[in-house]
Amino acid sequence: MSTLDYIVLLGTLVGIAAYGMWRTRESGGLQGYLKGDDSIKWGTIGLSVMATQASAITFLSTPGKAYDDGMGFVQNYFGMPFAIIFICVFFIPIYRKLNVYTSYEYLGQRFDSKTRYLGAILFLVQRGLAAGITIYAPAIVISSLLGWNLDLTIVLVGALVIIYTVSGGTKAVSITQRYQMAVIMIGMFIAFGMIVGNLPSDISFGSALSVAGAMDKLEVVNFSFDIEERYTFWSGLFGGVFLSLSYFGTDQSQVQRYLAGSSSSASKFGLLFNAVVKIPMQFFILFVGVMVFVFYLFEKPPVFFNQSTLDAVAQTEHAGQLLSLEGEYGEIVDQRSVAVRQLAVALDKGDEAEIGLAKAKAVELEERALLVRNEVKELISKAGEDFEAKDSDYVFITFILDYLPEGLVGLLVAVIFAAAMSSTASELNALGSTTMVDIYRRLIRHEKSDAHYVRVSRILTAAWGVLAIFFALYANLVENLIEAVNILGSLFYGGILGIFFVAFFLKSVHGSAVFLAALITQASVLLMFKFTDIGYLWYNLIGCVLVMLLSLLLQMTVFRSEGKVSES
Amino acid sequence: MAVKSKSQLNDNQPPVLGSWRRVYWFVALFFVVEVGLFYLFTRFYS
Repeated sequence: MSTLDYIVLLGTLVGIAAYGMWRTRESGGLQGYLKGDDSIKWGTIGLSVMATQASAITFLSTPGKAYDDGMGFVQNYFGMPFAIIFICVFFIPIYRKLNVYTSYEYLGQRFDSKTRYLGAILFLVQRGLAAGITIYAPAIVISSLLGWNLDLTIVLVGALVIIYTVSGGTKAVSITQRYQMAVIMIGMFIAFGMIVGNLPSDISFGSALSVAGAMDKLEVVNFSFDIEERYTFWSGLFGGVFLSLSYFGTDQSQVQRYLAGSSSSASKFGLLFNAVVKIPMQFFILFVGVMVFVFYLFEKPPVFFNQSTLDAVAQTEHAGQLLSLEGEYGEIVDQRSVAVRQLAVALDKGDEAEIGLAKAKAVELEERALLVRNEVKELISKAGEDFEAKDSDYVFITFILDYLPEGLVGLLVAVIFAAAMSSTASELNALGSTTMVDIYRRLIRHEKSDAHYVRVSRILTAAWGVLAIFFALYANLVENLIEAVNILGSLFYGGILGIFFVAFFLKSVHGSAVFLAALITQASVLLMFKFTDIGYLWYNLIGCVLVMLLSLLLQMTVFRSEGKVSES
Repeated sequence: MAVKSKSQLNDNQPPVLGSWRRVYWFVALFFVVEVGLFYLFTRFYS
């Protein structure tokens, strides 16, 4: 990166953080610190919810996913609009009516303290680990490509987030997210324009689309009922509803965003904004990835997108084999480029016979190229246990670093870090608030001044930030880390959602029954995960249903007398 | 019947479309149209 890139990068990240701190320099009181004085408008809430969900890995991995597998991943979000409508109808009115700071506070009011602690602790464990990954994931990608010191990158990014989150609380998080989201979207549109602009002059945008379609990258929806298909309309709709209900309805990092609204209307409309905008946004990010794929059909791509790993393998005994595979790959992609040009010409002419022939040739060469890429990945795995043989996270950033002009590279790297910071800020803000409201204020210090609780919130937010940095520094010790965190989330989300569903819809069930049901469910889910091969996304549904059924059963049997006492 | 204050009324009203029921229908219909367009897009380029 050039000096100009560093100026743009640092100016964007530090500038937004400083502005957030300046805007919130006078916010006081616990209400102001944890809920932004209930003064935030729906537009800011909408962007804040979006920025919380979209972490750096969204902008690194999603285009890479489209590069490998096409557009089908967008179906994962199909359940989200319906989950958000459900939350607006059932969750938000109750949260607002009870004026809670955290979603787990509601569990305390509806059931009892132990259920509240259970919900809060499950959240703290899962989100505490995830916060470290949110910082680590972009830092490892960017630092390995740019040769930065990984530990220093993690500490600097983490420290910047801690400073403005601790200083301004919820309002600072929301205000900075508005500008971080603006930078992210501007950066992505510029990147898209640059990709299209860098296509060969004889390939129009229409031809590029036709080529992408012919290479099977533009299948957006798949109505197949095949449960072995990873992304279908049905799995996205039904699996996505439960995942989104848990995430937007019970995860404090999201609940805190919309509870900061100036009114119930602002909270609902900010959330509904995401129900409308999220799917087109994901479509666009995937589409950027498909355009990167088309670009590399004409321009020679690296055989593996993580150059630092290739350099490391070149230092091992496998160097000769790697060189030979690189040579083979180069020849195949040269031939593929010629075949794709012929396909584009045939598609423009509309000659079906010619299209069929050219497509068959291009697809055959693409398959051969993929085989060589897979051989390289196998070789990387063989070369060393520490080498990561997955490069989809590196595809988009490699394009940015290699083909974007000075200044824009800095802006796009800022996009990645802005996304990481916006997600981390929400997580730290939620972790600090939950620890203060649900643990500290309940268990340790009951009757203290607002100023005391604000001070403790700041200390706890900073402590979670330091813990997140610490976890990020040691994150490489965990194998396949991002998937591990996703699995961890799915193992806990279902049970938490089940507790909330019981609270909302099963009025006859009381605290002890739901608490025990949640513990049994959690143990059952962990055992099922250990001893069966059920896909982890299903645990969201299983956990939720199991808590509801067990709660009813326990209330009618073991805790029958407790119910009668409460009623009398 | 208690008369709602202006702020309470605003608190319950969406900024557009007049009622929450209409907003929810809009979100659901937007999704249906969106999936329809995705389907046409997929068919056209397959």
